[in-house]
Amino acid sequence: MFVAVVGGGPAGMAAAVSAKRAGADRVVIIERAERLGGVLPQCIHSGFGVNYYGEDLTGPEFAERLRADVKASSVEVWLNAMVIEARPDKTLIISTPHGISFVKPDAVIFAVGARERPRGAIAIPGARPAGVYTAGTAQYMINIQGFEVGKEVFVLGSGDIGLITARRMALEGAKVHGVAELMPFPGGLARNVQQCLKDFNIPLLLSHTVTEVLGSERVEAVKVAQVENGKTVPGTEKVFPVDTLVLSVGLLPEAELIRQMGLPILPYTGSAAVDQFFQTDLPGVYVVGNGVGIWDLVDNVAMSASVAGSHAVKYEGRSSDLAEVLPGVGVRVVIPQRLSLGESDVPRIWFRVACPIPVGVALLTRGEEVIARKGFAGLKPAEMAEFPLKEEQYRAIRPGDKLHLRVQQP
Amino acid sequence: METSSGKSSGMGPVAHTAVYDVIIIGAGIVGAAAFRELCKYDLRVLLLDSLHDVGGDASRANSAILHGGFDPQPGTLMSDLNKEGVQLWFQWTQELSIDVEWTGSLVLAFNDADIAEITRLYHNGKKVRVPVKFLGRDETLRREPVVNPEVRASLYAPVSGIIDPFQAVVALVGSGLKNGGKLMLDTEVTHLVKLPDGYIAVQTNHGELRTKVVINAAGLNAAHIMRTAGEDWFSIHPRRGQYFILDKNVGNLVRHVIFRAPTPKGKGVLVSRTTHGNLLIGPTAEDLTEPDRRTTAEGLAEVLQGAKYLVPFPYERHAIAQYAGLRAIGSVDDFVVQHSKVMEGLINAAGIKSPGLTAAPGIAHRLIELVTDLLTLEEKRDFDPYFEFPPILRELPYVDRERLIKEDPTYGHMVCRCELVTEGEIKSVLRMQPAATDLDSIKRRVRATAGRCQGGFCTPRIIDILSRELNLSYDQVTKFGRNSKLVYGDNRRGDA
Repeated sequence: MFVAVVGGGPAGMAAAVSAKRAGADRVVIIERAERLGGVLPQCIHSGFGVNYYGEDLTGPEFAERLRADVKASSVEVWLNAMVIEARPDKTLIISTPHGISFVKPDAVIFAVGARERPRGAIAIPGARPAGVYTAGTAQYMINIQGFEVGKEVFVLGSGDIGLITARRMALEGAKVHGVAELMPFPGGLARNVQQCLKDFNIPLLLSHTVTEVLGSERVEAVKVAQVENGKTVPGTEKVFPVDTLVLSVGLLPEAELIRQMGLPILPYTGSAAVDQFFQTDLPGVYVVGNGVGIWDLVDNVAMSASVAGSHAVKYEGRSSDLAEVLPGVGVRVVIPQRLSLGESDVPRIWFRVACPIPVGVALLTRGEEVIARKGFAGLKPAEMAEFPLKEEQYRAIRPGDKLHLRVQQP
Repeated sequence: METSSGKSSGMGPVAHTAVYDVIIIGAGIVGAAAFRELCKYDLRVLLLDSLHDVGGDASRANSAILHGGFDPQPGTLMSDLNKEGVQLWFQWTQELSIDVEWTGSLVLAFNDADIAEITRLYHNGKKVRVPVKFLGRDETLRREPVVNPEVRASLYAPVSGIIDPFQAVVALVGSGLKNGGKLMLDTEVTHLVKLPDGYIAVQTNHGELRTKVVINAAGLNAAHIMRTAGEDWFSIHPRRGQYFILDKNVGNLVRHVIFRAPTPKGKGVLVSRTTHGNLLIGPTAEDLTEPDRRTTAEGLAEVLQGAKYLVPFPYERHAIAQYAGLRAIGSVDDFVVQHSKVMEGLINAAGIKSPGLTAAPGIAHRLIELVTDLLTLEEKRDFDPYFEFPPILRELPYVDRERLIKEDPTYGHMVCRCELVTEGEIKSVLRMQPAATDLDSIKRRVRATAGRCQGGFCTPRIIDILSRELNLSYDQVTKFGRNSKLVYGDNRRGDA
């Protein structure tokens, strides 16, 4: 059994280790960067690993733990190696500094991560000077390269990466003029709003967005205005004299290779549909981590990947009868979108709500019929909520069922 | 072969004694085309530009279209040179390895006025003898099933298409450099002065140059250059066009270049593929008094609206970039390609608006004829018409990539994950002529940063490559020269 893992971030490492432990003869991690770890080495803040390792770790520490597991489990690691083409028969074509390689594994696990949405994805008008960066790019330049990225900074987007980058730039000596958030609620975890903004006196402007970038060579200012019902409110525009605009406006799974395999891309996750083992509709092809949908915690990324790794070996690509799970009212994302039926382990469904819900009930329905229900408190779009099915609920699902997961407020 | 930057190479003393036969002001598509053609002759030719890279202004922010030639009024210079340009591009794109696709174009009509307009264009096309066909609704929808089903008819022009305008300028300038021409960037012309000995003194921010002939291909600044020579009958104002670039995943939405029947303001919003497989929509047509290259919320909304009318599609979901370009609209409603009325030796190519990119080769030939009035031209016996870009790996068979990687392992090191650009390719364009020296000039040559993540992944890595290969401190690495610095320095070394 030969398992190829595309990507050597937390998901790829966890998948590879679990595949090896499950008895795969050969496991190869194909990583395009010069080191394992994915984005973790640049995430030098803490908050990782509480669920997966039972300890609060920094990103590099979390990556180091996984890397030690990889080393201990005789997984092959190819660095500076990028898959440039993936064929539906699982052939991978790889560019490396030694040449072009072709491999044809028995199972492929795509642990390809996500990319950040750029300025152009949200069409911020204005000039096109230097000094507009996505948060992850800024973080890489600060934490890996040691660059001084900006002196006067404005951040758009209050997702966790935006909040953490705002604090990081403040710690580097930059003046962070503010963080604007289009929605009326913060996009990141509550603890990050406190620890990254409030503790550093960085203003958070909810229901605000950047309406224009100014500057002919380097950014000279940004215009920020209040937003109501998707429209900017006239007369609320403020000018912030900054040299840097940091964007944290969303992540998208890096799904190009998955698309090349011929798998349809779901509009609400931006990647292929998977079952509870993270297997796609192509037997033996798995998508894990942020490549399958955007998770809130790296712990969940690693967890999802280990499930796939061992499944790939034990089941050798066989798949059972399937039901479909779709996001219903109030729910933006569900993972998985397929349920393999008749498995011994009862699956859980992960979901993200579309807006904050203080108290609510999640319902898994088949038409009008409620298959499962669970009460939740404090659901936030920033967090992935976990809906474990009960034995009898799972067994009640039939092949070909179209189930919806929706959230109701009392 | 030589490229010099006025800023960095201490041109001062050299500049005072440098004497040329022809100096071309402006390294946009017109200047570049003239440069390439003049370097066929035994002349000392210098190409100047005020910017940090070749490619001009309008020439790098336009629709990247080769127009069929049915649109300009027959009998105008625009009409003649458009037709000549299409024919020459057919040859030039092959000689110079420029990406081109003859996709054909469709001008859609939705109402009686539109049908009257495409009928007029049909007759124009017949008059100037470029191929055009009038298609009914069914045939239009058969050719292009995604267009707005309310379409009533269309004008089909098979000999029109799409081109890579960045590559075109780089290849034309590269061809000229290869054949003995010279290039100076970051060089702004302040005055033209006719000297008693018949030479023209070209005064620049880096000293004075002397030449027998000046070709003014300064785009938006062409009227300003004319005025410095005392010629004030002509003026130019900028007309802004805003665009969206969309992800390659939707690049195949249309097969042809799709236009709306034109209005007096221009050809309206078009929907087109690019030679790289992205989708392009735009432009607006906003008359401005001052150059302003900003996109605006209103302008971008207008582009979306216009494109959706032609081909209904959720474009905004697939957007990866927006840009604005300025067309040079002259006070005469035709191209001005003629001898100066006041200064002997000055030739103006001014008011080159659309279809300037298409017409550029024709304009270059007209300019050569005008130079012939002033100088005796002798063809070089060793002129080499061919130009090759450094290898682009994603376009090579695997065995050829393998061979290159064996020669230089950096050809196996992927830097730009979206467009699949390797470190070896980036290094090669830093060494080619005309050389890339900053982030944007690398983008225009090999596409790194031009993909769906817009440089999020590769920008930090390219900063390292630029710093290492060109021996620059980190705060000297720029997006497009001058003060467009990407970072303020290295905190670890404290050299900021």
